[in-house]
Amino acid sequence: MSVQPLEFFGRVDKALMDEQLRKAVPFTQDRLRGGRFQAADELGNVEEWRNLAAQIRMHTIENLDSYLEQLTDNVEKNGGHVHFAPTASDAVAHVLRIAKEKNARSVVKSKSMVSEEIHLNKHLEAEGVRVIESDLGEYIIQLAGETPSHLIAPAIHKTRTQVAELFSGVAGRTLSDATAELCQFAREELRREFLEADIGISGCNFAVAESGSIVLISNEGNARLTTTLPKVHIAIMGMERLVPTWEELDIVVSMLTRSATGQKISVYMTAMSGPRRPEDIDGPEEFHLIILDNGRSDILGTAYQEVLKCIRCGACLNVCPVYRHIGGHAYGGVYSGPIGAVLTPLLEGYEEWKELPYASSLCGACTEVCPVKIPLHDLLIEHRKDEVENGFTSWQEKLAFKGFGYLTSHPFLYDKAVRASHMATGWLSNEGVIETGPGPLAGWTNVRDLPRPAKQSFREWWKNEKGGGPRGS
Amino acid sequence: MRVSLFITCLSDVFFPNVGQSVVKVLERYGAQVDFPQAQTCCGQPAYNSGYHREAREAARHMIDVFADSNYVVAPSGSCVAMIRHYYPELLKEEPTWREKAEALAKKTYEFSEFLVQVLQVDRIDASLHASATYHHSCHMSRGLGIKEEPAALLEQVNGLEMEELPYCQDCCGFGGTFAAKMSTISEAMVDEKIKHIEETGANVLIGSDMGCLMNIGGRLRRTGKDVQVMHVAEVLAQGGAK
Amino acid sequence: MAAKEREEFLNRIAGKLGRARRSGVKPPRWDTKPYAHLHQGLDHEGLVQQFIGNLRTLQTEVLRVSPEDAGQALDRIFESASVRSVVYWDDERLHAIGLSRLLDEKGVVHRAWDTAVDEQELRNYTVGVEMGIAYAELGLSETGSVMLWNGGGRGRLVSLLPPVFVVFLSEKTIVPRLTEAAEYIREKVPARLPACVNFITGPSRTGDIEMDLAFGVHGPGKVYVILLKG
Repeated sequence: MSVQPLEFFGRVDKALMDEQLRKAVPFTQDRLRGGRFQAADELGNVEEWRNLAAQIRMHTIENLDSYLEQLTDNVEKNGGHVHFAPTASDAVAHVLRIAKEKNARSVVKSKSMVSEEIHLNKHLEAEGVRVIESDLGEYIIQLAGETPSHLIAPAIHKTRTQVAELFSGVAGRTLSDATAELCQFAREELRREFLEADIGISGCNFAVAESGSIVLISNEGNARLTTTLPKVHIAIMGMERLVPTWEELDIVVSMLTRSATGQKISVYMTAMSGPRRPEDIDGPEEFHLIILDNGRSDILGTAYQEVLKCIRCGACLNVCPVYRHIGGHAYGGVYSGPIGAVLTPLLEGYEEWKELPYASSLCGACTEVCPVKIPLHDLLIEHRKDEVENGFTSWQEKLAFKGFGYLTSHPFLYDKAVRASHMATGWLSNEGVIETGPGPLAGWTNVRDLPRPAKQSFREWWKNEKGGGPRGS
Repeated sequence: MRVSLFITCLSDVFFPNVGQSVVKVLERYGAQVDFPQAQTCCGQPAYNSGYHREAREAARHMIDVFADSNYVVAPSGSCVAMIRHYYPELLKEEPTWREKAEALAKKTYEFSEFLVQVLQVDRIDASLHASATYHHSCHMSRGLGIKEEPAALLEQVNGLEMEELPYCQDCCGFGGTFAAKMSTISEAMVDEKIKHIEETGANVLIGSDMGCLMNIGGRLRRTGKDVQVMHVAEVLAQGGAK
Repeated sequence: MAAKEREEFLNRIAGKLGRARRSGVKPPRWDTKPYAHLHQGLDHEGLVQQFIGNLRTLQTEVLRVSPEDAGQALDRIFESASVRSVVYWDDERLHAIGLSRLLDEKGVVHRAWDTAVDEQELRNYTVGVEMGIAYAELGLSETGSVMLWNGGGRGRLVSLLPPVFVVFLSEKTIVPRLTEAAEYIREKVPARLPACVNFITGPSRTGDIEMDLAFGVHGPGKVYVILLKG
C-alpha cells in the first residue's frame, strides 16, 4: 500500500506541467528505444528470440514450485540460507532480524525494485540502521527523497544542476555540474560506504535453479561492490525471477540487455553461488536469499498469469506514448509504464489504483516490444472488464453502455438514432462543429472540436442514391 | 466481385463522404458493393471499456448481418481489428458463435488491404495535387500488420507528394474513450503528433481510421492550424477517369 | 520452522496453478536456437577480430602478443596509465608468464592475492592500489566480454577495486557468445560453481546523469586486455 498525497489525476496534471520532465522523458525514451530497435535489427530474427524467451518464462512459471525447490536446495548446498516471504512485511522482518543479529549499523544497497516494493529502506531506518543506495541514479533520488521514475534509469527526471546541488550538499563544498566530477565524487563517497557497510542488499535479475546462483546485471560496478565487500549479503528476489538452467539464462539475459538499453550485454554479469568458500578471502561470509511472494501467487491461474513472465527490462516504458508525457511518478507506484499499469492493481487491488488500466490508448506498442510477449494492452482491457464486473465504474457509464449494447443489437432503433443525430445536436453546434460538449463529451471538446453529425448520414445517402435495400436499384 | 460495405459508426454518422468515396473507389476497380442496412457498430467502444457482455451483443448482431456476404470491407483499421482478433476471442465460450466469428474474421478486410490484396489493383487512377503525409493508425499497423498497402496506393496518385511522418509509430492519442476520459494526456499526445505533421510541411494529413482523423482533425481545427484531413478513400476518389 | 515455511510457500503456488506439487522438473529441449545464425561466417581469427573490435568500441585496448612478449604489452599499458602499485591473481598462468618479475622491472610495488595473508590487510592494500591484474577463462567474441572464474587466489576484488583493470586472455579460449560460455558453466555445475563468476565487458559506466555517458563511477574506469597468441 502506498499513501499518495495526490490522486491519480492530480499526479498527471502535475507531471504535464513539469516542463523539465516533459523534455527529459522523451529524450530518455528516444535514446533507449532507439538502442533496443538497433539491437533487435542486428539480431535479424528477434521474433524467434521473443518466442523462445516467452516459452522459457512460461514454462518456468508453470513449474514454479519445482524450480524454486531446486533453487532452494542448491543455495543451501552452497552454504546459503533461504527465507520465504509470503508478504512484504515477512520480507522486511527477515531483513530486520538478520540486521539485528549482526548489529548492523549500515547497509549498502544496489538497485532492487522489490526492495522498493516492500519499502525496505524506511523500515531499516526506523530501526536505526543507515541505508545507502549505491546505484548512481538511486543514490541521487535517495538524496532528493524521491522514488524512481523509470525502471532502468531511476533519475531521468533530474537535471545535472539538480544533481550537482544534491551532491554539493553532501560534499560540503560546491561541485560543478560536469558529469565526470559528479561521478568522481559519487565514487569516493560511496566507496567509503561500501568498505564500512555491515550488510549488502541486492535484488536478483535472475536466479539459476540448477546451480543455486543469483545473477546480477549491472553497468556501474556497485552491484559487485555491494555483494562482495560487506560480510553479509542479502538478495531479495521476486519469486518468479528465475530460470531453470544456464541455457535459459543465456536467452533471457540476451533479451534483457538488448530490450533495456540496446546493449548486447551489460558491463557486469555477476553470478554468485552462495557465500565465500573456505579457500576464499573475499566475498561475503553469509548469504541470505529472501524469496518474495507479495501477491504474485494470486496472479497464478488467472487471466493475468502471463504478466509474471516479465523480466523487468523497461522496454514497454520506452515505447509508451502515455509514459512519454506523464513520466513514472504519475503512475504513483513502484512500477510505472505499461507493466506498472498491469501489475500494480494485481498486487495491490483496484481501490487505490483503478485509474491505471484506463491510462492507455491501447496502442499496443508495449505488447509489440515486450521481449517475453506479455499481451500488455490486452491485459489492460482485462482489467477494465474486471473493474466493470466488480463495480468500479460509475452507474452512468454502466447505463450508457447498457444502452449501447441494446442499440447496437436492435437495428431498427439504431437506424432511427443515426437519422436523428443531426437534429438532436443542433443546439450544441455552431456551423457544423461542436466546440463545447456536455457531460462525457466535455473531455473531448475541452481539447478538440467535434464535427456535428452529418445532415445526411451514409445510410440515408445509400437509401436515396442506391434506392434502398441492401443491393441498390 | 460482390463486396458488402461495413460503413462503421463514425463514418455513418460523421463522415458519410468517406463512405461515398469507398463505394466509388471499390466500384471503379471492379467490385459490386452492397450495404446491409441492419448493420450497427462493431462494439469496440464497449469492448475497450470493459463492457464485454454488451460488446458480445453487438458482435452477434454484426455476425448475423454479414452472414451471407462473401467479402466485408470497412474503411477502418480498428473496426477490422475488432472483428478479426476480438470477435473470436469474445465468443470463444460459445462454440457455434465462435465458428461464425472466425468465418466473419476471415472475410473481413480493411479498405487499403482489400484493394491491394484481394482486388489486386495494379494501377490507381486518381489525382490530387497536394503535399501530404500519412498517419498509420495503431490498430492497422500493429493490430493488423497493414503497413505497406496505403503507401503503395497513395504513391500512384497523380500530383500527390508524400512526405514521411516522423515518429509515425507513436499513437495520436485517440484510443476511443481514452480521448475523453484522459483528455489531458490525450491532448499531450495529439499535440506531439501535430508537431510532427507540421515538420513535414504537408498541407494534407491522410489516414485510414476516422477515430484518429477526428482526433487529429479536431485538434488541428481547435488550434487554428491549416492542415486538411482526408481518408485514403477520399484521396483515391479524387480525379481519375470516371 | 524454515521447512514448514517453505512447504506452505510452494504448496500455495501449486494450489494456485490448480494442480499437485511438482518436483524435479527439467526444462524441455527447446526447439529453436535463435543464436545459430550469429557469427556463422566467422572462423576463429574472425571471432578474435570481432572480439577486439567490440572492445575498441568500449574504449578498451586489446594488446595481442605472444606470451614471451607480455612484458611489451605491459610497457604499453604503463605508458598510458600512471601506476605505482599493483595487485594480481595468485594464478599459475600469470606465474608462467613471469608477471612478478615483469612488474619488478617496471619498478612498481606489487602483491599477489595471497590467501595466506591477513584478509583485512590485503583488502586495505588493494583499496589503495591503481591496477589489478587477472587471467580470464573465456572471451566472448560477440561482446568483447571476459569470464573470470574467481576463487581462492583469484580474488574478486582484484578486478573491482583498483581504477585500472588488466586482464590476460588466451585467444584460443575466445568463443562466439554467451551460449558457449553457458555450456562451459553447465559442465562445471555438478562439481559446484565458485562463489563468484564474473563476466566483464569493458569499463564501468553509467548514464544516470542526463543520459550522459561516464566511466569508472564504481568499478574500474579503464580496462586493458592482453590477448595471448598461440
